[in-house]
Amino acid sequence: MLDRPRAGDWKIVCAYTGKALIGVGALHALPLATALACAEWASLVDFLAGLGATMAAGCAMALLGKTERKPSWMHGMVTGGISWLAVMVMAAIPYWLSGHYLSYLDAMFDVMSGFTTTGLTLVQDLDHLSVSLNMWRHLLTFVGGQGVIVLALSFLVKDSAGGYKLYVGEGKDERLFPSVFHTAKAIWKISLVYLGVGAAALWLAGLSIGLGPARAFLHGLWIYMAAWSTGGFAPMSQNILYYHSGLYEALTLVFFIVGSFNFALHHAVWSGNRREIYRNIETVSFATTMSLLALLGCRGLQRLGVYPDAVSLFRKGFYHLASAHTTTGYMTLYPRQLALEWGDLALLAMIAAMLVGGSACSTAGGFKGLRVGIIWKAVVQDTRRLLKPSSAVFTQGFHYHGERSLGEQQLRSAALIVIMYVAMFALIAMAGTACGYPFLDAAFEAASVTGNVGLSIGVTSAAMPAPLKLVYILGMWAGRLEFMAVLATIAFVAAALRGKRR
Amino acid sequence: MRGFRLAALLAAAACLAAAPDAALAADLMSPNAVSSSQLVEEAKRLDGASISFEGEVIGEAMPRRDGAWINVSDGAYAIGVWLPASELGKVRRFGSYRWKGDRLRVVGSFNRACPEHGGDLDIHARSVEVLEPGSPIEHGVPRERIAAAALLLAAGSLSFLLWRKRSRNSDESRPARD
Repeated sequence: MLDRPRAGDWKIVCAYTGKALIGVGALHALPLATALACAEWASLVDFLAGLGATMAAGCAMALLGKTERKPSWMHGMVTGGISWLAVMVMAAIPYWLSGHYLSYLDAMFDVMSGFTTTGLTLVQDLDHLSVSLNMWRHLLTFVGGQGVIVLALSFLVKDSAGGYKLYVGEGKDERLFPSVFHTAKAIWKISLVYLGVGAAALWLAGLSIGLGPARAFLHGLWIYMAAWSTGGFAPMSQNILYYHSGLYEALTLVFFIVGSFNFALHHAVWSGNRREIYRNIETVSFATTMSLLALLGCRGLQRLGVYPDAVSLFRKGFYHLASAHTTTGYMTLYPRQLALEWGDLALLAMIAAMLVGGSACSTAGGFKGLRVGIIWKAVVQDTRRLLKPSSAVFTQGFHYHGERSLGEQQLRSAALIVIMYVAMFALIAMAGTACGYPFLDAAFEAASVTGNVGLSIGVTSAAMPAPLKLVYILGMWAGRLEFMAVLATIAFVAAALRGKRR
Repeated sequence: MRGFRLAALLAAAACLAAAPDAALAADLMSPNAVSSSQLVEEAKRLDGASISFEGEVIGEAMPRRDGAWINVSDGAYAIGVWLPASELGKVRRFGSYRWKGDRLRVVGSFNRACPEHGGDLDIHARSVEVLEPGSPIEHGVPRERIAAAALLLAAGSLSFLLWRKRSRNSDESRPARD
């Protein structure tokens, strides 16, 4: 039986969760300024209420948990898990007050979807949303891509050793610099520089396709935020289809592919090491699985004659496969078209792409190209071993920011995460089927939830059963944090309820 | 007489053979009122048909070189409508946070996967009629909500000041981070 956590353990978790909430409270400044600038008074009141409640909760937790103790690995993991839930509850206030959600559960669903960069939504009447609420939706997904804890580490946490444990608890483990604070700031720097370039490019594209200057700017900013963070939110209900533009699709395609790459890869390229792009196991793995799955998906569409020509096949088939593989979730189709027109082969390719996902330590979800690459290398190594004399000695290496040799521990942890992703996918698909949805539809949506993708085949809607909404929230949370923090949180809470006294 | 019979027989056969085309032509000529759900769910059946679709125009018009895009929503889905430039002037108000857009009736041909527009599901409009002009949407703020927001803001501000004060005090007695 697990040891029951002491008051000191709760204090540490409470203190850092409070700081994450304070960080999210500070984020309200941007939609507040937008509401003021656009004279959206009803939204302004909603955001003031959200700001007040989040700050009050965050500061109260930080004060209650005030302690001089350093966080351990367990505290880092549990804080990672609990802070994402706390942030979901508090950041849903402006959503709920806006009247665009049927229940508080729906509002929390959208916050979790935004923060985990999933992109599934239960919002009602999206086409009449205020500018400030759209700013909030896209800001949440942009910040979620970098991480809630990364946000807190950048500005509010002052303990270096403990900071790294919190950082790992959020499902990231790359250090771009020896200091975790410098790493967190480098992640923000990379994201903000790309934001400037990407939003400007989409602004110009928006002007060229007939949007007015102000809307072209706002749409460019929001679409870039959600593309870079592989989030998939858009300000209009038709998602990217609203723009009816090949140029807009091409730009978003580039941005979400770039966004799905590891922050360490961006940092390496920025530091002049461009060869890393071609040699890195993750980019090689991504290029391979993307090509194979795109071929498979497009073959399925071609066989059924779904699209009349190669251009349409590329703009629909390849675009959606790339959107699925990078776990973005941008669509230029209606969800039901996938179910009614695409056929089993193309849908299976999409499901596989969603499960594989993007790169480790990026904004993307899925079980990641790095793990696929490691497992593939291990399969190759074992096959070679079978064909050689038993006395032969093998070493298998791979390139990942330098040459590395494949170790048993790396393989074990990669396989474990992949097994957990597949198990969660199966459980969520079963939950969908149990709620009465066809198996393929339930499996598609489960892959989208597990991989934090956001593509929908039509299952996700405000009308779906509340238990399924809860399952999807938990799935998005566990998928984003890559299970360890979630398992630690569950064990921590279970120990508090049933554990033995130390 | 035999020639006349043969000619009558051939004419009757031609009529029978042409009947489905005539029915299809009639279908194409008299537009069929459809909802957006029908357009998405029955896209294969309706592909190429002449249809009439009603809904609120949302967002903005996007003029292009040889026409313009608008998006029309009937509440279930918003559908892209490709308009001749001459028809665009009829549309005045687009749906947004502040406005309910004009309610339009669009008559045109439906494409499940338009070859001209990269495989988009769209309507190529022949004509657009404004059924009901757009109107402003009021966003009132109840007094109770303003009072609750003020209370929460006061609680948030006070707790923030208290937290900052405590943090500063403990910072003074701790070495700087790396």
